[in-house]
Amino acid sequence: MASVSVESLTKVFPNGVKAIDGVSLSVDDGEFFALLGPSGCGKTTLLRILAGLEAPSAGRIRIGGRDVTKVPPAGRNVAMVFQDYALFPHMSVADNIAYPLKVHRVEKSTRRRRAEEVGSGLGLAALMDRRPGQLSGGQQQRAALARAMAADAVLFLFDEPLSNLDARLRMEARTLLKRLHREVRKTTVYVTHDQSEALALADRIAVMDHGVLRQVGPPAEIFHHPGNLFVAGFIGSTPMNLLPARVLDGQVVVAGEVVPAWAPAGAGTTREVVLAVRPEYVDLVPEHLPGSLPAEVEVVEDLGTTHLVTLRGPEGAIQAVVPETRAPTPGERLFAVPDWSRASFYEPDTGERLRDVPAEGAEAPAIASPGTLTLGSETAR
Amino acid sequence: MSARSTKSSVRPTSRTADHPLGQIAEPSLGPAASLEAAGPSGLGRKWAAVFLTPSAVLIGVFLIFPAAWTLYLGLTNFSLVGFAAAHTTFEGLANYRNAITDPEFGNSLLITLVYVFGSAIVGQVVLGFAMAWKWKDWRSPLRRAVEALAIIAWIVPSSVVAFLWISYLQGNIGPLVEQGTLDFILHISTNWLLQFPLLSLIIFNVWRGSAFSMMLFNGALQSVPPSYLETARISGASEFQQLRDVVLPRIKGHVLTDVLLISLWTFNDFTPYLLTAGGPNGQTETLPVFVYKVAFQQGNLGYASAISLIMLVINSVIAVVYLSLLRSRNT
Repeated sequence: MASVSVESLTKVFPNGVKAIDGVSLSVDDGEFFALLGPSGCGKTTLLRILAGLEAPSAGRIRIGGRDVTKVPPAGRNVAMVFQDYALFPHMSVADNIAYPLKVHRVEKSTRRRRAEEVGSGLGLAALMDRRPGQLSGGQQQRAALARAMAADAVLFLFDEPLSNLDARLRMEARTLLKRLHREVRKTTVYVTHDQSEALALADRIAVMDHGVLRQVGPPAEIFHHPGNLFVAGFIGSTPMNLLPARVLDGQVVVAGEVVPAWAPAGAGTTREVVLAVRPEYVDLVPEHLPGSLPAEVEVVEDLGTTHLVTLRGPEGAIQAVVPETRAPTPGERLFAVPDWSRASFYEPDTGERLRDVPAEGAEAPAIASPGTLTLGSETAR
Repeated sequence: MSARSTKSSVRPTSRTADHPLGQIAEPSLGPAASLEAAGPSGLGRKWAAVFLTPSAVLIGVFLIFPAAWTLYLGLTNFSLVGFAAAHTTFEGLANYRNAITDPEFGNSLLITLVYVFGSAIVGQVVLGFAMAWKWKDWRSPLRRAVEALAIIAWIVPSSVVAFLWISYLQGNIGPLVEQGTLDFILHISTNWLLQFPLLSLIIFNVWRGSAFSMMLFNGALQSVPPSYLETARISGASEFQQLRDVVLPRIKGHVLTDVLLISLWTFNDFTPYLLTAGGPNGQTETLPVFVYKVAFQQGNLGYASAISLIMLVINSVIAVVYLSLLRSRNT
């Protein structure tokens, strides 16, 4: 087991592309750490540098306290699972799983025993003598996992291991991964572009964009308090509603309406801000309430247990997630009631979050209690 | 894999399934059968025959007839000059009996085998693979330049490269070039083609032909997913282990194809004649050179035909061995 620390890591490819730009982070021993970001954000490059497959242009990497910046992959004692699983097609499942042992000249019977031990834990016991080509996608994925586990590495590196599975299998595999991690508690760095995977699996998530870390934190923090507008737009099954707003004498005004939201102290007394609130925390009501925004229903998308409603409001589009029983019809004129207490404020120019929240117990702008306005949002979630 | 085994279980008595060319020959039944099945809307047999005739005539005139004629000549004492030229007689297998006891033929066969083993199997295949493997991850212009040079060596006509190598190794090709270039560079006086004739030819052929293997293996190595090698590297595999466990099993088919093609080409290569004309004293008289000498310098076409046929048999044996190896890797 080992912690990982990365210090001001930079990677510039020979063609001049700066894939990673001064990234520093640390992963605790036994932690499940997700690197999340859109494609091309540098997350896979970072993982490959951790594995030793790419050399960093600058910066330092420590695994278990040992400086491994210049150590080749073989000397790092890590195991990696690739997106395409990289199972050798000419070897049986057992030989594949035990390949790291074969490389280290472990005796054949020991190898077989270890392969069966690890494989049976992953439901591969009956498939030991098959070739990878005869396995289903899910079985291949588990065989690749088993190979990583058989290696007895101190650090697991996963490069989008679930993205080649169909949606249903992906959920199963995700649960399996979570269970495995709980059992073995091995330090894991997990690269994904799928935020639901990161949110479901990780102890902490690092959101990357254009080679820099945009936010690092536990899933709940990333989800509920995105550190900047990029993360706010990236995280969540539907992007956050971003509403231009103004702070006037400590009150928050959206589309001319004073809304019951905390104005962050950092915002000063009078300034422009961007207010972000998740569609899941927006309710729709037929009548005007204090702090509600008039809007016309444009599109209703059926998500099964909920509906995603897109409305045209005074400040552009606004989206709301409502329960299936309360789906409006397009053209209907309603009032959108965001749960203002869950809103986050951002600096319009830099996109950074205005963090300075009033002290506990400070009096809210007394128009209405936010709780009474979120009638639908509990069930909507 | 499974498709093949079911096929042979359906027709357990069929010989074609065991024949190395059986797999290739069998699918040709397909188009003909579908042509018949096409019925009135298809072309029908008559038109198919019409379209096939030109190529069949060409193949017959230029391939099948000469081959049959060679087969016949091999059984006679037919010559270009002398008594036998006018009165050719049927000699049966006499030419073949002669070949077996002819020390010149035995010597020539041995030289050919050394030439094929040294320059084709060890030289071109190994060197070609080494170049492809070592330069696999290079993306520099240097690699392109070296590759281009190797490919030029391969595509320049034999007569031109032969001339270049004679001037490189021997000189004496005109009043101005008395010394070979290599000797000039090394400040020595060695007549390579006289003192080390077969070795010179082997090095020449390695130089000339490695580009083909390199290109073939370049393509083959592309087919090995990078993640395979990376998995092996992370597991701690040495370069040798990566080659043995990951690369070679994956490209075994390419290797066999390459070895087959290169062996056959080298076996039948006539370029040595341009460099050494079989000399000195028969030391570089490979079988093609030997046949040429017997046929056109000694005028003994009957004997030359017989040796040609023996060469054909040897070629076929090589091909059959490789093809069965190629097939066995699938089962």
